[in-house]
Amino acid sequence: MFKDLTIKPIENGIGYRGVFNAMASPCEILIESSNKLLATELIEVAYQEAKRIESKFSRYLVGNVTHTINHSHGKTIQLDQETAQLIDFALTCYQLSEHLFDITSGVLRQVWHFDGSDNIPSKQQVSSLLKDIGCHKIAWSTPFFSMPDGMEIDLGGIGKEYAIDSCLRKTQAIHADVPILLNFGGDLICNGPRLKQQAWVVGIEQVGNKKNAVIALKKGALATSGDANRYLYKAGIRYSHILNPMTGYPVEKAARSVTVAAESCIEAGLLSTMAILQGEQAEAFLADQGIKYWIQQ
Amino acid sequence: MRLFFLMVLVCLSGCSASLTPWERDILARSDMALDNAPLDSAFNDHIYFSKEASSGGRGFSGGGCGCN
Amino acid sequence: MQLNHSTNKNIRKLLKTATGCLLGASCVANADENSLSGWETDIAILSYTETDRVSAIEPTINTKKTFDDDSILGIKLVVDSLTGASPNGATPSNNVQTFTRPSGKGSYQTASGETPLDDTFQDTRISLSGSYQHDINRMDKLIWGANVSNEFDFFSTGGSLSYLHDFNHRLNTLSLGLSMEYDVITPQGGSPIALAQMQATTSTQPKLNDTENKVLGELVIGLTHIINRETIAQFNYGYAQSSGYHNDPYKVTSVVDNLTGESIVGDSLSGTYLYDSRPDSRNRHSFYSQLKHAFGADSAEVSYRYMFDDWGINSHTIELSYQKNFDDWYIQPSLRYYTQSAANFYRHSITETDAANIGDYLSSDYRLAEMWSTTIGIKVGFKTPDGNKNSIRLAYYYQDGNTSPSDAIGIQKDYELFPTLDAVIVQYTYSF
Repeated sequence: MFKDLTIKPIENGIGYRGVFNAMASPCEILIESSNKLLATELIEVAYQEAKRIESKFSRYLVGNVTHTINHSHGKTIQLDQETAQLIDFALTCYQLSEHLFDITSGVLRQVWHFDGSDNIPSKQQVSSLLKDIGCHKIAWSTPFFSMPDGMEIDLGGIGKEYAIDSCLRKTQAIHADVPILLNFGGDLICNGPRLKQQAWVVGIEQVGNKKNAVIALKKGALATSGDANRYLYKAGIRYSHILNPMTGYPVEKAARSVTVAAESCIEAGLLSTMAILQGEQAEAFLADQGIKYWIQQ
Repeated sequence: MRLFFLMVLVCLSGCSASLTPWERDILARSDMALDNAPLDSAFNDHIYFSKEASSGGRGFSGGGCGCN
Repeated sequence: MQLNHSTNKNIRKLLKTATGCLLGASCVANADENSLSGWETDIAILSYTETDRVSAIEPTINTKKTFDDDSILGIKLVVDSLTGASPNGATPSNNVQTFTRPSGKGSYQTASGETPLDDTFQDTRISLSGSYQHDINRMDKLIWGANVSNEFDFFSTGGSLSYLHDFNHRLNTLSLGLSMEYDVITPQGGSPIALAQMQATTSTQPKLNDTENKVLGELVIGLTHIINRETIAQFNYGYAQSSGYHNDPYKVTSVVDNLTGESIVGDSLSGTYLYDSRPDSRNRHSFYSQLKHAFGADSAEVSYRYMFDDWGINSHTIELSYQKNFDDWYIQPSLRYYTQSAANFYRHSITETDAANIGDYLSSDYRLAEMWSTTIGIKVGFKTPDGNKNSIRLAYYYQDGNTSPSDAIGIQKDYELFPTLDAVIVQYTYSF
């Protein structure tokens, strides 16, 4: 029914798998049910929700909410409830992370290009952008939003995880008993164990040549932050693509990859991002959270 | 006794160097667990403990039973 | 910028609240509570029935809960209700034999030619055990265990600790386990003096103590080895040492005439029966190996155990089973074969001459005799309409030994000197 959505039966097992691309990631939805109609319905609902969120918040599309905000040129605009909630959430994270998690730091993209080369921007290039960064410069009194001209927001840091959680919620509203797993480019969530109380067996790809870790997921979500493919390398130093919004430079001694397990994908995603932002302290930060995590330095 | 060491040899000879995560799916099945029916094992252990002279093997052999 | 520990801890709580608000009250995991964060429980009932001998009914409830940190707490309660008659160790005679009950206040008789069975026992045992498993770090975990059980003449309590270490890319697990157990035996009527004669109800039977005890310590070293994608193996070595009262206070050995094999008149009974006497220590070594292999959607298992101890017993156990899995149900046939040699102080009976210089130890408990047994079983698992798992298991157990040993004398050649046994086992389990 949808051109870019493929639904096929799962090989060597019961159920169906829906595959599509969204938010710059390969996405798959696994449903363990031999009922093809039900599986198709649930997959299509999740697919539509993922596409809806992508269209609404992608910074690459013209005319959507993000575009409107980023072209408001200092004017006050009124946001819809969903966007308002996301902004609330993002600003809370800004506080909780002591300003390390900042949705206005996207402008740094103009000078940092993480293509594996040694093209590091100059100090002036970076410092000239710092004036356009900082959530505290946003005037937010829900649902009214305004920020100084020249600043922009980027919901990419929470968009995918929010989409996964929202897609799962939509499918649960239709039929909650069928085992379902959503995997959007490595961030994933399930609603419970598979048939016969089996766990979903998930592998975490290790960077470098180390062996893979296997996680048996019976409930909840997993999210990974890391620099497996996006980095710069100059003078023997590897620059992670996670930038410290206060200095404008990549976080020093950042872990290569952090995977966190939590109840929701957005919680897992935030914790893994916050962990990497801690640089050397990543492991200590994760240990304090009392959650299950995997870290590679 | 020789049978025990023969089994050890058989097992060690068919080794793999490592298993990627997606290759652990079969072993993750509940029927592939080493003790996949612990209640059955416990009942059996108790019966054999009270009718034979040996106990244990898979786990601890303790009685906890004055079986007559 | 560094976050300190107390700030770190708060973050998760605040983040949870924030995500709760963002995602709405009906947050994520919406599946059945029991399968996620509740207790997983099995209730089962076992019925064990020997032909003409002992019967037992054993209801059990076993529950476990997995916490967020992946630690697991398990609790199990077993009630075991036993009735029926059990061989008392004496051999058949052409005459009617009279035996005194353990309490000393009654007696029972065995007809001519029959294997003497003591039917005193109607015993109920209650046993409670718990275990707690938790991770120390990514590759190591500990399992703590504790148990206590009680029946009218036996009380047992114990604890165990096992340490498991994964290594070699989690292809292997090494386990080290230690367990201790303390048993208190309060034989009905008190513990008889070992090798003393059984006296009639009208005479005094001198008894040693009201209570006896025994301590057991065990070490198990294990290695799990993943051979390939479909195959896993387990090897265990166990060493167990027990010290204290090992006699069976209710079992006797018949003293028979050197030539006729007939029972000899005793002090106060028409036969001479000597009370069981065993060493006060026992050291056991066991070697166990198990192999499981998946054949497509099915699985098969074979295991072998070799045991030997310082009582002269050595045994071999082989078990095989194959589980055929269908979409919603499975069937699993199984087979077990067991064989053991006799304890070096086991005699089916002793002659009058031998009785004069027995030595310290003597027992006619058939469980210490040379014997072999076969179990064939079949188990079917299925789901009931409520989506929960059920299974029914049926097994037939047959045990046999030297019914006509070469040293049988006179009338003994006409009778079976090993009480062969067959039993039917039925078990039903329901999981939710």
